[in-house]
Amino acid sequence: MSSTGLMELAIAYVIMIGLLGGYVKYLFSKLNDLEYRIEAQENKQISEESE
Amino acid sequence: MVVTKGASLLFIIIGLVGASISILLGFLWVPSLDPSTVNGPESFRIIYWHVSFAWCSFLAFLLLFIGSIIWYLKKDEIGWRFFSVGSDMGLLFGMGVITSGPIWGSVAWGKPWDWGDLRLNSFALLTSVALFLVLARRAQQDTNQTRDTLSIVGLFGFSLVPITAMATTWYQKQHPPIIVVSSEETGLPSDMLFVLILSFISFCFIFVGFSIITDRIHQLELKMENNQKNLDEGWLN
Repeated sequence: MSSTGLMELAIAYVIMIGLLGGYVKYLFSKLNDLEYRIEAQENKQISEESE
Repeated sequence: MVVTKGASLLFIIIGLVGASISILLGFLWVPSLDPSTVNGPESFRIIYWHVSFAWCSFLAFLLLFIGSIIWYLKKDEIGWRFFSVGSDMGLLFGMGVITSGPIWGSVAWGKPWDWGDLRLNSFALLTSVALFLVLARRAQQDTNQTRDTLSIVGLFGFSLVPITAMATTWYQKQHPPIIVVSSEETGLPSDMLFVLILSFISFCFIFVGFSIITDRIHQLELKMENNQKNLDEGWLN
């Protein structure tokens, strides 16, 4: 433990920034993945209907 | 779909820029505390994000409460959407509080946690409820019975919010009292209060951006499930 608490302050901010950054990354990768999979499903549906 | 993604991204970027500015102002503009009056005088700067995380978690639990009520009384889909977003946001912002608080406490109080403090323990329980709701929503089949049960748990979770918010007024042990209300014992200098409010407004932008996109993801998951059902039925017929 540092006497001024500067080290703890840095650790706390790194964790909080990590939480926000990690969630942003999760949200956008999940969104892109879902959009890609839905597009694939809909293409499959269209091709099945046309057969 | 592109508008939703763009709007939420804009909210998140504005929020992150504002939150970053609040850290900088907290370092460069707000003066340090007198080392003779507090332990680890620099660590108090955690306050700008720690409190904003906590207030946003209360917003999330309010969303959860509204969603639980609407779902339980009306069985309306919008209620479940509020519930789902509220539980996800409650967990995220609750985790921010639960991780930064003990780090600050270890400097200011000499120990990371006090099992006798009402505020700390009720907030930990609140975050545990959010964790339970998120895990249960993912693990259980999405039926009306599951939604009914989880919305009851959501109502219980929200009942902890006023207890947590008022805990330091009723029973203060370690955690500082409500800081934005000025009195003889509480209150913040105007520069600290300004940075704190700037930080909270920025976090509200982040909260809205995250909520929009989280809801979009839940809707797409539902759509994908329905599409898959249609495809499976097509193969069976």
